[in-house]
This record gives sequence, structure tokens and C-alpha cells, in this order.
Amino acid sequence: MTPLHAALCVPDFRVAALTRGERERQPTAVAEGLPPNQFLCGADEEARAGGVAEGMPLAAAKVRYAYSGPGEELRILLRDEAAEQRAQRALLELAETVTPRFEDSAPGLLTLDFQGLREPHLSAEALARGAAELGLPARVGVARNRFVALCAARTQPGVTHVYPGEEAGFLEVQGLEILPLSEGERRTLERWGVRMVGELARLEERELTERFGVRGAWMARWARGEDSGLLQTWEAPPSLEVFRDLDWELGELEPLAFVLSGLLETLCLRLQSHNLAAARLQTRLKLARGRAFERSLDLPQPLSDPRTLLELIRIDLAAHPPGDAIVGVRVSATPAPRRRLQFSLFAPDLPGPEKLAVTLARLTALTGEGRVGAPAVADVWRPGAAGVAEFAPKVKKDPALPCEPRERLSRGLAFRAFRPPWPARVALRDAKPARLETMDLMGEVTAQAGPWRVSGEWWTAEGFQYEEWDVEVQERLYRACLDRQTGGWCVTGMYD
Amino acid sequence: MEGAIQRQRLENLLRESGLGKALPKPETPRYPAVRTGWRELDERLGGGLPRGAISEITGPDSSGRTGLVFSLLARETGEGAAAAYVDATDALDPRSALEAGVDLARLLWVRCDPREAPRYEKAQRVDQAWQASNLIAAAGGFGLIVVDLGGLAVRRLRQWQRRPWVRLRQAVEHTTTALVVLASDPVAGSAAGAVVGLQRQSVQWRDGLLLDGIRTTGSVLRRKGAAEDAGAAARRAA
Repeated sequence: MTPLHAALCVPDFRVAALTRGERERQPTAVAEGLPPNQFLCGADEEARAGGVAEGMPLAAAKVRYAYSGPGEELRILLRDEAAEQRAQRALLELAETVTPRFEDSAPGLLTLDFQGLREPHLSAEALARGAAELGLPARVGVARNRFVALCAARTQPGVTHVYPGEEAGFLEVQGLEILPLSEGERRTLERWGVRMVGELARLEERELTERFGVRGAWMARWARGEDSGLLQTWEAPPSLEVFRDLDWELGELEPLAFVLSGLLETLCLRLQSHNLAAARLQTRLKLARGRAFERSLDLPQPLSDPRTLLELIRIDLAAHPPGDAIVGVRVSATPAPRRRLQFSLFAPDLPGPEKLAVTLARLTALTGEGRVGAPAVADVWRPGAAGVAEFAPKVKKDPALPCEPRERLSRGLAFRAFRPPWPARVALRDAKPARLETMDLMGEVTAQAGPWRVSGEWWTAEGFQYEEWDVEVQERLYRACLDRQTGGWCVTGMYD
Repeated sequence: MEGAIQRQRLENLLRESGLGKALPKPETPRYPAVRTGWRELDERLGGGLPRGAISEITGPDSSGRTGLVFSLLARETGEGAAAAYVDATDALDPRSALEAGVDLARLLWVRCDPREAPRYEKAQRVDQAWQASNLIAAAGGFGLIVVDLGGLAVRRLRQWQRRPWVRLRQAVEHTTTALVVLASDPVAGSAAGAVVGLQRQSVQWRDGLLLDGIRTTGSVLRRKGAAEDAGAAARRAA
């Protein structure tokens, strides 16, 4: 069966998405960014006729239009990505009514497979009419070749049919701008005197390949109107929300696990069938007396195993109980691509991601939020300062040789921090600590080194200024600090 | 070497007495040990701290215990393995660990919660440390788990029954995980496969202005399947 493609193009899509349904036309441009750095990202034909172009600073565009425009006022609208998504979604729904096989090629641009349709002419007309009814006036091109159909839709008004055998003739009279060339490639071709697609088609493919590499071969094929790749069929995104209203109230978490288990099985099946995993889980519980309870789980790695997800939700709900009887459950997932893991033959094994996620959740439930993770060096020299980062070890590509000498590994005295620091009383002799007393320790200072002055965050209310001493008391080595703001002493840690 | 000679003598004696049978072969470790990076100590330990067993690093404060543990962590994380640090007293200083060469991204730090009432605090912390260690050991995939009980009184730790240590040993048995307990005195009893004792020899001060290092001696107080260590190894942590 002969292939047949149609393309639907909404010109100036960003403007069209914002002005859907408006009857009166007015020169319009779309700007993005925050003042004063606003730039134009779209303009309709009337605005472009007044000298306005995409990428122009907003202020410059206004001035340019005021001088060279036709006199009618230029309307500036702010870009609305949600409106663009709504418009694109409407176009996709329209395409679905014509054929099940179509591609979401770009914002405002669809490619449809018309092969096998009985009345392609009528379908193309219906497509153009449907788009106009949506408030998105569109151009439609129909051709055997997908690329030619796209070119026809982008360049010709209304509905254009390019019949078999006429592809090269149609393209011949088009300018180079219809081809997907980079700026550099276009400039090079123009330097050679090539301005029309027909002129490019007459060049030898081998010579173009010698000069442009693989891109040269593609250019020759585009210019001759030969086919260009497969259609990437659009699929509706999966619904990643599952819910169940209960006929009876659940007062405990254990029976809730049975309900959650079924819901998560369904959710994970949907995720897996689209090669996705959950990066975030949101559990919403409908409680008795019309109240609601919501918990969000940010997963350390995207997961799609229902048992692991159930365990994570159970741990979380056990740590944060809803506090009332449950009458409805709703679970939704934020999708992410599934992780790809390359194992190494030589690197040591790491904890499995599912087990690690559950273990981290259990450890957090045991010790509290923010107390489990990879240690992080705090960007401040305040005594005892430390941070906790996300723990997600990756397979090391070049593990160190096991015979690495020890000298490379031990680089300093190990320090143990006291959190919070021990309050202390210090007696001085010759401006040096001579005796140290704390709740658990009392003794003469037999040796000391210091002082080292440490300060920071003086620009905030929590600013600090310390004078640090390394002291030896009862054969132990401590770090004693004098708070220069309060005059008090404390012991912040021990060398070990 | 001495152990091998004694074994040979005993086997000869058995043969001469007509009892005939040789002694059962000593257990050979299934996985390579975790080397401390302290050559003499590794030799005395038979290659390092055993995997699939509990080891204890003991000694008084400022005897270099934490430095030795950092050395183990640096070696293990440097080879690409994941390690865990169960910190009963929230004493880990990330800057100090980083300077010792520990790859912090591969270290799981569990800071036991100090928010409980002071009266029950220490018992609570030990309980948390034990539960956390069990969870991590059960997850698998960690090359080294350090349970830091360094700041806790031995009296408190000994109140903890022997049973938890046996369970902890069973959790790591037949795995590649080495579980190291840092404490001021041995606490795991017979559940420990090796016990290393550290003693501070001297402190070195440079020109009276800078704390330069600690000179430490280490001895193997106990090692399963080996005669008690007669000598001691010395080193300087700086």
C-alpha cells in the first residue's frame, strides 16, 4: 500500500495559543522573561510586517514597530506555557479523531499517517476545519513523503496536496529556510550561491557528503524529496493516579496495607508498561468527618516495585499516623525514566536500590528526619557543624588498587565532636589554660597549643568568634574554645 | 608460625598415643580481610579485620581508635564499596573524615537521636545503634559497618545483654560485611571475631605550638582461631 502522510501546522503557534477564539485580529507579539530583560519569543504575520522579529528585546521591538509599523498598536502578551500545552493537547485530540497513528512533531506541528484512509482529501479538509473550530487556524499538507507534507503545511496556506511524482517539483521552488539546516550550513550554502532547494537538489550527494559529512547526505535526500525517517507515534501519557473509596472505615494501618497493595500493583503496572518509574509518591487519605491527610515521599531513586513502594508508605504512615479513621485512599506518582545500571566486574557490590530505599526509610523512622545520609562538610567553621546529604552511592569506575599505601590515606589527627559542646570552666596561667573543669572531667592542663581564632557568620544574628586551644588533660587531648562574645569556655571535641 | 609448630607437636603426640587422627583444619576466611593499613597489626590479625564477623577496636580516649577506623573507612570507600557509620553519640566530624581520605559520598552516617530525656539517653542511644546496625546489616551490600560507641560508659554498654551481639554476628555471618565496634573496652564478648586494643604511648607537640601527632601501640587482644598476641605494634598517627 502506498504511504501517505499529512501534516498540520498552526502558524505562529505561541500567538495562536494565547489568542484562541478572538474574532478581531490585532498585531500581536509574545514576550518572555522578567522586566527589564524581556525578549520576544513569538509574533504574528502583521507584527512581523512591522519589523518585529523573534529574539528581539521587547523595548527595541516596540520602538521598531512604532517607526515602521502600519500604525495599528502592537499588542504584547506574556508567554503562557500552560496555554500552549492546552492548545497542543487540543490538536492531539483532533488528530486522534482522524487517525490513530500520528506524531507530535513540535509545538503546533503534527504529522499524521493517512495510509489506508478512504478519503484522504476529505480527512485533510476535516482536519483544517476542526483546527479552525478550536480557534487554531492551521495549514494542512498531504503528500506521499512525510517531509514534503511537512514542508507543504509550513509554506502553503489552506490545504495543499502534493501528488506522487510532484515532490521534487514542489520543493524545487522553495527557499532553503524550509529545510532543517543549521545557521552555519545555510550560510555555507548561500556562499556557494545555493538559495533554492532545487539548486541544492542538483548538487551531487557524494560531493555534499564530502563537505558536510552525514548531514550532506541528509540534505541531498531532503532536497530531492526522498523519505526521511519513521513516524514516532504519539501515545497518551498514562494516568498515574489510583484511588479507592472504602465501604467501611479503617482505624488501623495494617488493613490499609491490603488496600494500598492492590492500588500500588495497578500503579506499578502502568509505570512499567511505559518504561517509567516513580520518583515521588503522593498518598492522600480521605478521613472520617470529611478531613483529608496527605503525605509525599521523595524516593532516593526511581522505583517501580510495588512491594518496595508499599513498605515505604507503611513506614512513613507508621511514623506519621493520620489520626482518624480512613474512608478513601488515593495514590499518585510523579514519573521518571527508569534507571539504567551498569554493573562492574571489578568494583565491589553496592546495596540494592530497593533495599536501600526501605532501609533508609526505616533508619529515618528510627532516628528522625535529617539524621540519616552521607556526611557533608558544612561551609562554616562553627564547632560541631555538619550536614547530611542524600546517600546514593554509584558504582565506581576506577576503584583504587587494594595495595594503596597507608600514607596516602591517613592525613590528619581524627577528631570526635561533642554535640552539644561541654560547658567548661578554665583557669588561666600566663594567658594559657592551666586547669579544665567540666561535668565529667577535671584536671590540670599538662600541655597546650594555641590559640587559633575562628569567626564567621558575623553578618547574621548567629555570628560567632572563638579562640581554640588544643589541651592535654588526664592523658586525653581536647579542643577547648573560648567564646569571645560571651567570655564562656566549652570543650568542642576530642582528638582520637 | 609458632601456632603451626604447636599444632604439629600436638598432632605428633596424638599419633604416638595411638589416637591417630589429625586435628580439624583451621577455618580459612572465605573473603579477603579488611586491612587496617597498619602493616604490623594486619600481620598479627592474619591479613586484617575479618569479613562476616564482628571486630572490636578498643582503647582509652585519645588512643587513636577513631583514626584507625577512619583509615579502614578510607580504604574501603576508596575501593568503591559502601560503608556505614552508626554513630551512637553523634561524634563524627565529616571534615576530619574527609581529611583522612574517606569518600563521604559512599558513607552512610546514622546519627542516633539525642532528643530523649538525659536520664534514659544513653540506653536509648545504644538501642538505636543496635537496631540501626541490624537494619544496615540486613540490607546487605555494605563492605564495612562501624558501630561507634566511643563516648559511652562501659558500665552502660555491659548492661546490654550478650544476645544482641550474637544476633548482630548472625546478621553479618557469611556476608562480605565487616562489622567494627569502636568502644573504650571490649563489649561484644565471645561474639567478637577479633579484638584490637590500642594504647597511647606519647603525644607529640611541635615547638609547643602545634599538636603534631599521637604515638600509639596496638595489640590483638583476641582473634578467633589464633593464639593470643604476644607482642604489640606501634605507630604514629599524625
